[in-house]
Amino acid sequence: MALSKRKVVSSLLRKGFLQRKKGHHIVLVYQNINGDLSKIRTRLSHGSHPEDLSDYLVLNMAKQVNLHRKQFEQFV
Amino acid sequence: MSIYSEKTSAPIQKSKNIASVATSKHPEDVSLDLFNPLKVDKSSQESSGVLILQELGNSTESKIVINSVPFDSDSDLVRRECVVLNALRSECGNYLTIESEDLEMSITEESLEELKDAFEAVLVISWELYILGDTQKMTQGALQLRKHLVDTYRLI
Repeated sequence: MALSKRKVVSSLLRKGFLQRKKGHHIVLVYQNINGDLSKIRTRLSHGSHPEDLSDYLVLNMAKQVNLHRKQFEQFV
Repeated sequence: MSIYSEKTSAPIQKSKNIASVATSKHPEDVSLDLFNPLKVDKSSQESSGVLILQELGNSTESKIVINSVPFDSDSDLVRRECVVLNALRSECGNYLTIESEDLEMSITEESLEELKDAFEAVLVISWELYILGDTQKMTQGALQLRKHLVDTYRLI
């Protein structure tokens, strides 16, 4: 299932991720409930890609945040 | 920082050779001392950086050589020891992925150029967050990543 980039980013931000941008790259870093920075990160880019994340990219993002793909899709 | 694409059918054996190939059209003219991590200075970095090597006839064996990454207009993040990362192509053929121990994450993009660009962006953002950030507001995992970054790179 392809996911909208915009939806993924806004959902992760609502769930405690911190956003940092450089060029067209976006890195999202998880902060725990105390606001402490963790090393759990994922990233996406707004380069030549379409608006939606392909299945392959969703799978990669899920791995980066230590979730299975199904879990990630439910998470966002 | 220079970007260099070298296409060669010759097998790559050593990282020093890769650096030589990657930084000059005439590798025999390049002193290997240039790549000694103990001898890094600003001027010697002008012809290095993050380099892309793509072997002809086998795109699954593309490589990215990490030596230094521009941090800001005045300084670079220089890797203490040059490393070569294999960029593996996905089965569908649309994506390339590198597993970066430096960043403790994998990076996927559609081309080697984008992969290089993404690596640089993630490294710079990670440095800003974990090295320049408040260590009192970091988890144990983040502190370990911080130590790993400091052990691997230096800001010059």
